[in-house]
Amino acid sequence: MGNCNKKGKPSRPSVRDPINIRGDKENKVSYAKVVLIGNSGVGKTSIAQRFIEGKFDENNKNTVGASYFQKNISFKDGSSLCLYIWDTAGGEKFQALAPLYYRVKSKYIINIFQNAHAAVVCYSVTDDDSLKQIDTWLNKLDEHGNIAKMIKVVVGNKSDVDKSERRVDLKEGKLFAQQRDLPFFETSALLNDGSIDELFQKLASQIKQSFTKEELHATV
Amino acid sequence: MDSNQEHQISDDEMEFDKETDDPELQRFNQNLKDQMKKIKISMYSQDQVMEYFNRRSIDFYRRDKKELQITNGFGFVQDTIKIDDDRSTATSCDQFQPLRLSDSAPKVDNKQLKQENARMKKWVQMLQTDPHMKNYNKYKKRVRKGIPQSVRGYAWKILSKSDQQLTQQSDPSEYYQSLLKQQGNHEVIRTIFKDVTRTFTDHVFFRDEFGQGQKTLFCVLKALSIHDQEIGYVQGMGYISAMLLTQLDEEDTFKCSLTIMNKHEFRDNFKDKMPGLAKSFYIHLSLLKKFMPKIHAHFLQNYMIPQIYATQWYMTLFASSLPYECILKIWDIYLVEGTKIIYRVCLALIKLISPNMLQMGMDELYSGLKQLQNTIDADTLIKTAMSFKFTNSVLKKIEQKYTNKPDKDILQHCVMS
Repeated sequence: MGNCNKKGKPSRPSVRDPINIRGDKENKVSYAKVVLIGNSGVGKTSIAQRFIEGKFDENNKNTVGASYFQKNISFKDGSSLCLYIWDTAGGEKFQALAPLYYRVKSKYIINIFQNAHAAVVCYSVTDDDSLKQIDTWLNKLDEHGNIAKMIKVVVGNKSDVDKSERRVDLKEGKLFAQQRDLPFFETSALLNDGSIDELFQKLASQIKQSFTKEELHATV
Repeated sequence: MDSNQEHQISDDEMEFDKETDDPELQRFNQNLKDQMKKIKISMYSQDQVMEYFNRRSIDFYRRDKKELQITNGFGFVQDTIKIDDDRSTATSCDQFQPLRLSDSAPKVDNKQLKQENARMKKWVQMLQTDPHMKNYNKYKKRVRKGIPQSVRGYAWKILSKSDQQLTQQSDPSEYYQSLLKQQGNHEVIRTIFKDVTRTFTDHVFFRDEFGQGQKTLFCVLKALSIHDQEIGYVQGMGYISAMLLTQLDEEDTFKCSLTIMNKHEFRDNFKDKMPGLAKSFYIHLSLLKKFMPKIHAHFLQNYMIPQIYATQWYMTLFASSLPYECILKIWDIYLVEGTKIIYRVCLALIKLISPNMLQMGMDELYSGLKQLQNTIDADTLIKTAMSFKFTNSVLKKIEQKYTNKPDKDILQHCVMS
């Protein structure tokens, strides 16, 4: 597993500043925060697992709360980017809970979208309702995200299913993303077809292009 | 990857897609497919879901199972063996033998067996003569050693006082059945339908997709969601009922789930904005500060806030996060002593991450905690948990403080949006 740990005691965070997880000031490694969001059961945890551990767990569990992963992405030019991936519960009530906080005017506003450099908004190709809900998720990002440049991508997961089970065509998903001017991917967490690696590779390049080195520090 | 291909072949959908010459079977398969389509297209109406479950379970009986499942002493699948048609059963049996059974099955010698039997008798007697826990200290002393597995279901039923639920109903059994007959909210039914396929699926009972176990869990959760419409169904509840189903029958699980929901304000965890969770976090942090002040400060400095690591602990009473044997022992104590044990275990888990915690950053703390939760053994966990000594009145005091005049330094880390 990619590990971007750096030893060193974190200094006490200052008010208003986004917080550097490890407090390393050298900035040799760039960090980016990515949130995985979308309706319940579209496969967010499976996507994260395929990417991080390279496997599909048949005994998948529904996510209660959120969990957190990290992985290093290497680029051809020799540089690398460490992705902090927050896998969230899709269930509606869990939105009351956000595992991350950010201090604004000495008040703690808890909100998972804060300081996210990118959001992977997922639906399942077997569930047309989950596609419709993407707009709701995008609105939430606009409302609560604080980074204007945040990169958003639309992902249709479970592309491996039988035709008879599909409820959203590839075209339909593409069109949906096009209309909102967002990059689009169809992925399968079940198959080891490289679709998920491609998604995160491209996402990482995009992040690297869009943000300056100073902006890419690890913030929770 | 090999494992993926294997998965594909063993996938249920492929199985009933397979060509068959039997016209009856063809018709059956077609029927099942149509049914499934209906469910996906329509709004998961109750009748269709049940119809689907029923057809699916017939389907299981018809199909030759090409897999042997090796489970541990509690029915959790440790390994599966594919049986080839060409191979004789004998070869498969050979394959079976040297597997991990010896590691996973509890090692019991004669002396232990006698001890266990004696404990069982003591428990049965205690439960029968003193079901209301009048001799609380005796219960407390015994439960910390764990309830013997053979009487656990029975004990849980009595200890949770599940028979005191639904007293307003003349016939609780009939009431349960009547709940099942109702339609239920479509969205809720749909969420439950999705979640039963991914709860405890490493246990033999829940393993088959839409099999008997998942069907039973669906029924219990549906009944709960109709009985308590304010809450309906929230993810997390499934783990509670699934855990109970490994020890109790369907109706008792329903009743016992109700007791757990209604006791110790556990239900507040599932209300809008999760007020119960905020309160639990407040108590959690207060205790952490009291017992491990340095670690408390270090955790907050590193953004290890309870929302990040403890949500599932409090919402599922560990049923979604720890090895099964740990959950059993924690629940044994929970049913006798109440929430104290939950806070204690949380403290223990934090304490057990590493002796060098203060040198660790968020990543290490988080992944250390994650790994610990997969590997911890029940005895160590309970022993460490019990080393945090505090009384119920301490808990009460913190609770009162939370309601009346909460400590702002702690409160700011528990706020829900």
